[in-house]
Amino acid sequence: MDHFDVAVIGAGPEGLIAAIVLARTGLRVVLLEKASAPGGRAASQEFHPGFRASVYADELPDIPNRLYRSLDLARHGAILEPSPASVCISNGGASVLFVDDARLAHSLPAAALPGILALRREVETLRLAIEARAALPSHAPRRRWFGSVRKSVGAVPWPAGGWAGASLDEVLGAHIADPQLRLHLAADAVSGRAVSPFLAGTALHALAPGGGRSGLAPGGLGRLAIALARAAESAGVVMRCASEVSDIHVERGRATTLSVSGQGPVAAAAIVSALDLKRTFLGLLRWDAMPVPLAGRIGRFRVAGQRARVLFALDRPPAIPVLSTIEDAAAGAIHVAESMQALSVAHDIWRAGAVPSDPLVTLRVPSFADPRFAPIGKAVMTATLSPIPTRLFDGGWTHERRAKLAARALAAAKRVMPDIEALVLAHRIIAGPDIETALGATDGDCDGGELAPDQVLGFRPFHDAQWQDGRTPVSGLYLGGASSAASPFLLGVSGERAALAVAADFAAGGLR
Amino acid sequence: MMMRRGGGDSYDAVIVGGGIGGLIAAAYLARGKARVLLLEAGDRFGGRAETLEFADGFHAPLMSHVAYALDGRAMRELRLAEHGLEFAQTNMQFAALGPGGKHFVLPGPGLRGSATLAAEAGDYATFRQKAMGFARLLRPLWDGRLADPGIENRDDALAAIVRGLQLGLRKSEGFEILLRLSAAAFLDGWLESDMLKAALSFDVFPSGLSPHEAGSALVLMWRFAQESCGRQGAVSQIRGGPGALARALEAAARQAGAELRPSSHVSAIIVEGRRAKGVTLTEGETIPAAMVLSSLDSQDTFALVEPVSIGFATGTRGRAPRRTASAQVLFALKGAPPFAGLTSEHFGARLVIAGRPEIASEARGTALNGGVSSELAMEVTIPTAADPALAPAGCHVLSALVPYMPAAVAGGWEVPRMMLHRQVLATLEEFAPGLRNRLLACRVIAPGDEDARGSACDSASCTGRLLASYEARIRTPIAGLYMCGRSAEPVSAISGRAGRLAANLAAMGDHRMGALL
Repeated sequence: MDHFDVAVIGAGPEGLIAAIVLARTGLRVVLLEKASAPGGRAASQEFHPGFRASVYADELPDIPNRLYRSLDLARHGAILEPSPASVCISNGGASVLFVDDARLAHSLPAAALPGILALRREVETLRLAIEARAALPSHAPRRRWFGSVRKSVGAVPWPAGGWAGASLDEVLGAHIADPQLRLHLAADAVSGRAVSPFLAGTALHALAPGGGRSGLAPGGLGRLAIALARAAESAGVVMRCASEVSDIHVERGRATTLSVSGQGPVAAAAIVSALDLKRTFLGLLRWDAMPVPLAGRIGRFRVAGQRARVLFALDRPPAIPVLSTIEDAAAGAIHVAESMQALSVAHDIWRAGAVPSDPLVTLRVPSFADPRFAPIGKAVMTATLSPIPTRLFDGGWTHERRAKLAARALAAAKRVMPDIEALVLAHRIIAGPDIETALGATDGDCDGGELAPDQVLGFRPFHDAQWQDGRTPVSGLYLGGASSAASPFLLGVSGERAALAVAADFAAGGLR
Repeated sequence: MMMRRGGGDSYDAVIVGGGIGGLIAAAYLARGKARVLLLEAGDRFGGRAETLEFADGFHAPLMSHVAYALDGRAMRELRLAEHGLEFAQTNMQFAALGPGGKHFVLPGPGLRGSATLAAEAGDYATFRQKAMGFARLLRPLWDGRLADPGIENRDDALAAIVRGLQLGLRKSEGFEILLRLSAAAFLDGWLESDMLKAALSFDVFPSGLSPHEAGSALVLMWRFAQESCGRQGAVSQIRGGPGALARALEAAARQAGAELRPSSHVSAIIVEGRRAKGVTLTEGETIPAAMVLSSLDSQDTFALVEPVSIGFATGTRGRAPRRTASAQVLFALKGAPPFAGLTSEHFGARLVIAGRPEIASEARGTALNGGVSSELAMEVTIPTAADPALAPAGCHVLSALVPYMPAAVAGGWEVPRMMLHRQVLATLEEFAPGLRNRLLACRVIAPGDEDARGSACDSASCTGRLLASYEARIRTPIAGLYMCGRSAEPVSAISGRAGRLAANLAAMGDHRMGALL
């Protein structure tokens, strides 16, 4: 049996960052990844000979600058560039929103500008508050003889203010009168997720990534994954790909060993799981290793697949007539939405387990930002459709249903790129079950759980003191993936915090 | 109370609007020997509390067909029983109607019904025990006892923590989660059956939130708390409908010495130096008063005040349009409604048709877009089961309350009204086959109607409103102007608690400042 100080499960961005942080504190770390290469959510793949694309998402949440610098990602080749603008095409017309305030001022009617700037400032302030909260140091639990864990600062719910109870429509309506711009901002906020903008509590989505704010890596998110993997290697992390963890063994209330399929078991003093909550506890732990109420509680954590993706290999870059005068805008997200009402109706249909006829389609042509995605002269386009359920009420994802998704994506694309149909060389469809199989994300939910006010920020996954900072009720087992705090809003923070908690517990002597 | 009658034309208090809150405030102030004048624009007192004769000889409670938030203390202290207030039934049964006669009937804390499973019964009993436990802890928030912590109109983490401390909650985590939880998620933790969950979560509708929205769990707790901080066995039916409550209150207020003046339309509230000094009527008459109480909602009240005197923030806060409302469909029936699987002893129950929990959210989503959903959740009562005097002998009245309707629709209510009638009838026909044949008359009260005024819901900042103290909701930026109607309640419902507390607060405030006389 191999012995390590820490075993990290899952080499997605969170797992990689957790492993780097731990290795830098001098611990012996092994990183176990199911797939043949690291990357997880950030993976890029060749989906057609010569054509590459980021498979599961075009954009991930922001990496905080602090983390980006300390991980030295720039040296390893991950340079993130925010896309200059996002575009929204709807029944009511078309709109372009530049990320740069000066260009925005130039392109928008004067009446609409103050509202958008005020909203951006409000969002920015809240994001800074979340980032500051995420940077607070992690405390080692002070174990008293009766075993109580000191409440860390994390016991106070994170800042969300009035936003926690407001609907997205309310928040946007408070600043913006123009319905087209309101729809545009709503599409930026909810793209890739299942949200009805009218329901209370959905305002939080405006803080989540979208609209190109978090930046696209030239070369795709895969470049970010490679940079993280390089940083992990240089930090001394032992990386084992094609090693799927099948069980976490708990002995006397403490996680000690991992079974790895096809290989020998791995023993570690601490285990950090970068998988989601349900997968970790209900998939890898034996149910009798935890009390029944805990299993029930984890079972009620709401997770649901929300998106499908279609990757297109194109014969040449498509022409986009609406953007002929502002060429660089084409590198960003292009939302094709009907109306606010359609978003809400689509959400209702999704909830019932059916595929909506008018999903929100977000198109991106990464080739405009970086031609290296495709052979010379050719191009790659991705379409993200949401909300699309993973489990359909009337059966599985058959070939016909998948083909229908591609047809919907193409129909939406045709509204902005009239010649698109003739250009398609090949396509690949990624529905919820594919994400579930490839990433091990429960129900194909890349966010690790619904973004509802009772499931985000300080409430993620649960608000109790024993779940703070990635610690879990099972001693020696830490949760650092998409289901733990801050992850929907900031990339890498939940991995980092779990790693810091492990380091603090090692220092306090709790794990030796 | 320490007030004396002033001389001449001056009143100690003028109350604008003769709603339940206004009547209760008038009665309380008059009992304290204040000189009180209540001005009502219409020719009838009671505001939203009204019994409507919707067909020849058929009477039905308008909108509020059950009472669940009545202030027991006001009922007792004003001796309303002596003025003719009587309950046709208290502690009403609750039945979740399922297809094919598979119903859950919940009589208070137990569970029985044709589809009762042993597991569900156990789950429901545990759920109810836990929920009532929570509700008991939170009860001081909603019975007017809790002091103003100076954090009003905030629904953030700080407000939650302060409230948690004030309530003495040792496990404040539970409370903080409750604030952000949806009713659906809360019920998911306890129950399995979708039908039961949908029916129980139906109770959040008075807040205007759907059961899937953040904060709706707190509304559910409010409903549970009403059972312990209002009348015991709070879901009840007033004999003669809500109109009878209004008559009793009117009599009580008159007997206490309040002057009630109908058909007096207030055109403005006079404010001098940030203090209310009286009111002006449409006919031009000016009535000076030491204080003004308003049982109108805040939007209408602030419309009577010069915008300069209330400040920009309050002025704009009041102006958010209400977008969802409730509708009611009334049926006059010859003979009893033929509900499958229900015996006549269940006819006095609240019959909730909710199907899946998603129906409510879908209806709310559609309503916000100005449409009427194709599937509707509704609460049905048969007021004549416990109160036969409402209809001619042998006949019955059936009232279906349909929440999550748009407050306004493009192109008027003519077509949606017909659709609504057809849809409600079709839904009812599923559960009571043959209902159509017993129909004598029907009346749809759509949100746009004169009768439905005030059925609109306010979902904006629901948690903030539920967490604020009564004092914060009753006081306004203008000294001497108090809210005593539904704007001062945590959730819009016929309660009267705000009226009693506003009267106390107004009397005490003026005593403290010595401004009276």
